[in-house]
Amino acid sequence: MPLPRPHDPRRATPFPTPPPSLCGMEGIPGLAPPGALARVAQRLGRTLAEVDRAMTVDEVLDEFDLQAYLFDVDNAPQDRPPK
Amino acid sequence: MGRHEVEDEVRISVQVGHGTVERRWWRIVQPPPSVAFSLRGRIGAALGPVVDIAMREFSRAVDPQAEEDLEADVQTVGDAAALRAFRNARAGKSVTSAAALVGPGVQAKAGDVAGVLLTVATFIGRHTGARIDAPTLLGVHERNTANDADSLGFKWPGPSLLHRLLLDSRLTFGGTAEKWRTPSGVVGDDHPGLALADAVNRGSVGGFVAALDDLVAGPDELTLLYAWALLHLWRPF
Repeated sequence: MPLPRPHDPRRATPFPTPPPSLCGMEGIPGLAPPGALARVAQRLGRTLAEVDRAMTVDEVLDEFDLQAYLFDVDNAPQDRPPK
Repeated sequence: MGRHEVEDEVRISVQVGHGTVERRWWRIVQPPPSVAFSLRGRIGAALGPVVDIAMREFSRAVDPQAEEDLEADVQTVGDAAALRAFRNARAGKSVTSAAALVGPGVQAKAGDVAGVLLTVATFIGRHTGARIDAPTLLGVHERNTANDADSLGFKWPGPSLLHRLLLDSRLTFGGTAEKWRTPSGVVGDDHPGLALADAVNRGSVGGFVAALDDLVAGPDELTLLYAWALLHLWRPF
C-alpha cells in the first residue's frame, strides 16, 4: 500500500498493531506506511523470511516505488487535486 | 537465490596513547530488510520528527557531490525521479571511505566524525526544539569501576538501539595491520576481534556490548561506528 496522496482522504482509524513476531512493520514517515514490507512479500508471493533471505533493502525500496506507481494507475484520485 | 550482501569497510586512525596512532579496520553489512526497517522506524522515532532532515544534512557533510546531483535532478525531472536516482546512485557504494568525511587527501580521525554527529544532533535541537529520546537511542551508561586498563571508563547496563544497530550490521573488527584480517574462530586464533565476532554469530547483545567496549579505543571511536552505521541505515532511503 503506497503512501497517501495529497488528494486522497485520510484514513480515519488507526493502523492495527502487528503481532510481536512480525519484525519491520513499523511505519516510516514520508517513506512507507505500516506493513509496507508485508505488501512487498504479498505481491511477490514470498514469506517475510524469504524476503529477508533473498532481497536487499534497495530492492525492497524499488518494490515500494513499483507498488506506488501501480496504485496510482489502478486508483483514480477520490477528490480534486489540491490547488 | 541468496541476498546480495551490501557491505562497507573503513580504516580509521585512532590515537591510543601519547603520540601513538593506530589504523583500525572495521566492516559492516547491511541488515536484512525486516531488521533494517524496524531499526529505521525505531531509531527515527527516538531521534524525533525531523530526523530525515538531519540525516540529509549529515549525508551532505559526508558526500556533498551526491547531494548536489540530487538537487539538480529535483529541479529538472521532479522529486520521484530524483529520489530514485539518489537511491540508485548510493546503493551498494562505499560512502564512508574515511577520507570522505574530512575532505580529499586528509586522514580522518574519529574525532572528526564525532564532530559531524554532534553537528547533526545540534541541528535537530536548533531547528525544532525537539527532544531526543537519548536513553533509548544511546543506552544507559555508568562509570566502570573495574580496575581494567583495557576497558573504557564506562559500561552499558542498558544497551541501546545503536548497539543493536551495530550488532545487526554484523560489525567486524579487522585488526590494525596493513591488510584486513578476518577473525577465523579456529582454536588458537589470537585475533583481537574474536569475542566480537563470536557475539555477533550468537546474536548476544550483552556479549557484543562487552566485547565492543573492550575493543574500541574510546568514546570517539564508538561514536564514529554509530555514525557510520546510521548513515548506512538511512542512505538507501
